[in-house]
Amino acid sequence: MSGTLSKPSYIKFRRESNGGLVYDHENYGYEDASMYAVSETVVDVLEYVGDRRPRAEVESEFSRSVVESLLERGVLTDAE
Amino acid sequence: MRSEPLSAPVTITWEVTLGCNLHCDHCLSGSGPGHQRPNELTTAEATAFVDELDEMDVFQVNIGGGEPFVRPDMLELLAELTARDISTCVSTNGTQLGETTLDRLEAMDPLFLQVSLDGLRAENDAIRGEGVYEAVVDSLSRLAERDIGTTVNTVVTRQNVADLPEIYELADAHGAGLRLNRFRPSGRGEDTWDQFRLEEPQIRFLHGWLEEHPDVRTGDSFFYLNALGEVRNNTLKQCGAGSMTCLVDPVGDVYPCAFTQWDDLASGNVVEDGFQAAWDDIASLRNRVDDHEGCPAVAMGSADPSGEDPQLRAILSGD
Repeated sequence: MSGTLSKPSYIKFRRESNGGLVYDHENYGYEDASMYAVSETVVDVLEYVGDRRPRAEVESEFSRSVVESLLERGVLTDAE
Repeated sequence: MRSEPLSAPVTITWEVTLGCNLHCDHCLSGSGPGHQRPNELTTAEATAFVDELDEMDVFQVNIGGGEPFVRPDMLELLAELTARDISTCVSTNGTQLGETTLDRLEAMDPLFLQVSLDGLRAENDAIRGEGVYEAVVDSLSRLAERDIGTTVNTVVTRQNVADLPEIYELADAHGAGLRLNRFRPSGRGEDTWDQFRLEEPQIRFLHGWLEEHPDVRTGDSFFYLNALGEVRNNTLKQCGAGSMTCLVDPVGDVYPCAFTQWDDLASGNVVEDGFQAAWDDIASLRNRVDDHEGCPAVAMGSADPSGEDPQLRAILSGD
């Protein structure tokens, strides 16, 4: 397990009036992309991680369970 | 479905020109040689529009036309989009992809190409022009040597549907995925609707074949039903026109989608009004393109604008 987190390049996100959106896109077109509404916390985490951030810092700022959840969903990844 | 309109579209389709070196019989936008509109966006206007897309956090831009690469500044505009990390998908007829162009495209990320191929040699060239099949296959061969995500796009017609297995193999042999699109009576497709639209046995074959090839992508809401009218893909049932996506035409006018380019659904111009204002306006029109079965755009253009998509019923029944 890496000690650094990053956001995969194919994950995009933005804030909306009630939370935010995450868009997962790796191919031509949008029909096989995934998009889901997320809480403000998820957007906060993604903004905090930026290009990359030590996992310990992210867990300290938010929580270990949030980080694990986002890793499981592929929104964050262990940086090489 | 969210109750609040999105602050910006998730994706947009941007038809950058009506000019094209080909003159296909089924072209949805009626493009062709010399069909450029005199007031198509200039490079400066297009670049300012890209800036606004970036400010609005639009995730993805699908570039179409016309043939995008007949615009002399196309590579420059693609570089502007990808430099802002906007996922950029370019639909091309595949005849304008010289090595210099591919060199520049390969350096861009995230960028994906979709190359049109509407059948094997005879069927494709009957629709798209003599020699086009050869040129496209040559481009696919060269793309296979490149690090450029490539998809073959086929508009399914009466003439090519039986060749889908071979088209699939051809795409796969070149490291490309296959994406199918519905033929619609839009642009020159209005004149050729009865010539190219599928017959009922072909529709049943198509949907059976799709069931066996889940890796084949399908480009619109028609495919959410199978030939028996059963829902096969819920993710495609929800039409995103005006709620998650919209179309920007070559002069910068904004519409819900490529098939709803009607004056009463125009919502502004990206140069004169700004894209944010046009989007806010079109999102308020969304309640006018909702609650239809099949494609709302086709339903709204029919004799009964509040009814279902008549093509859907016609296609399913073969009428």
